[in-house]
Amino acid sequence: MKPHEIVEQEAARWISRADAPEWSAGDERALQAWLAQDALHRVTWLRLKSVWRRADRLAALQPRVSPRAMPRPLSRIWAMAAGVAAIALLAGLSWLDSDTGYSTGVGGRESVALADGSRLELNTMTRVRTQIESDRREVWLLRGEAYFDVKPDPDHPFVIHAGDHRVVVLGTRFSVRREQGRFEVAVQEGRVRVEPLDASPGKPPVIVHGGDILYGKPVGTVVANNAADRVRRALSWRHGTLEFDQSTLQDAAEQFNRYNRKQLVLMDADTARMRIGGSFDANGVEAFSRLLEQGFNLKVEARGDEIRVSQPR
Amino acid sequence: MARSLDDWFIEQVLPLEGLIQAFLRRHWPDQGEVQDLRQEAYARIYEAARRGLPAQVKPFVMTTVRNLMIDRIRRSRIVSIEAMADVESAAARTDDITPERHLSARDELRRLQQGLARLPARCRQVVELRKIHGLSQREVAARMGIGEDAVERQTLLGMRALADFMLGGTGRVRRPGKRMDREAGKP
Repeated sequence: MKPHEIVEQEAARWISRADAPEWSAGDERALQAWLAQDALHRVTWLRLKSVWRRADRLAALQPRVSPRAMPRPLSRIWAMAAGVAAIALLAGLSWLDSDTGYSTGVGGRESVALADGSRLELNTMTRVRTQIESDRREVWLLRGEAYFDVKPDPDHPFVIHAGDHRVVVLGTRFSVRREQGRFEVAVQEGRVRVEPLDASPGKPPVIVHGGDILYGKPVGTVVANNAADRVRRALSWRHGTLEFDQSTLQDAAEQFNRYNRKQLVLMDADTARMRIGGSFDANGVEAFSRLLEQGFNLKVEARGDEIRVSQPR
Repeated sequence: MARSLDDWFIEQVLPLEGLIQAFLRRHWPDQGEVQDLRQEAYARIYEAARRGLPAQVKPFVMTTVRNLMIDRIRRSRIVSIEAMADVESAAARTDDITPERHLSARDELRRLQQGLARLPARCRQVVELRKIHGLSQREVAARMGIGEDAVERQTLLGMRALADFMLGGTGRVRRPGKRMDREAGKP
């Protein structure tokens, strides 16, 4: 390989991986270190990334989704996509300019008002793309978590694409999370329909009502009914807090690590299994670790970007 | 004024890529080294701009490219007098070339589709699933029934070829490890 190809290949790999829901704060740190190493790295990465982002526009070729549409075999979707593209090109594509992206970094939170009167709130490390036009309301949750306050409009369903799932809304408040193999829909009010992209007998569409949480797993989906408390906890990030109720320290550490560059690392299984409750500032991982040290008598040790927690000797 | 150095680079320098490559092809004897030179020139431009953004982007960029060529010739063992003279006098001509215009949304989509159409079938399918359907690498692998490694390989090829095409190149897939003879031969 020529010198420029080696760097280009490496830069492309970083960009491709950063798009994945599995991308972690640790990965982000490693990327920043690689970029800081050499201007050659940075310019190559910027060049590829800028075009790869521009290619998000291709999402405009996605076939329009009707609320009653049955999932189609892939080949037909593509035939349709080509058809839509052809029609769109003829029609002048005036709606294309409404195609917009939003993102947040580690610990970020952002509120976005959409043209149709709906509202989005992005949680930490989140990327979404929106297309809101007179006849189409669609959002792509590329990674992370977002809360939706959707303006009711029965004639124009609001559709959220999240990888292998699609969430169809008629007007409600809820959040969708797509991260590290997780897929969750927490509904505060109203109802949504969650459809897997591949319809199969074992994966029917599911209706999720206010006060319910849906957990998507590779094997199938589970819905917790009448879980208003859990929904409230799942949405506590909107106020900048994390709420735990008899959660394991393992879960709590994973939550904090989504919001902070300083990562909590639990050094042994006994520590990971401890249960905690309470409400904490999402960005306050240092205050939280002091509490573990003083309140739980655990050993807490800062090492670079890590806070290591273990049983006292 | 651009918000940051990165934005400045993307918005002001990258649109000149077609110009830079044409300039290099015209004045550099080994066509196989043009991409390497382009990349090194970008790094120099970026480093220089850290100390302050130039008021005039195009002359600054083209001068940097020219100086890079001169440095390379000086460093090489065999200095071709002809090549040196050619590069030294090259700067005068850069102002004649019109800058790349910014594409409208419609042209942009059309151009992206053209770039996509140039990719080999499997590579195109991967890019479509990722960009049109918004699937992650893992989801594409599951959908196509191939390994994640293969998806990543195809994504990287597609990304690089698309960047090349969108910035004024041919958009040909360049597989790592293989030399493209045609690329090395013609201006």
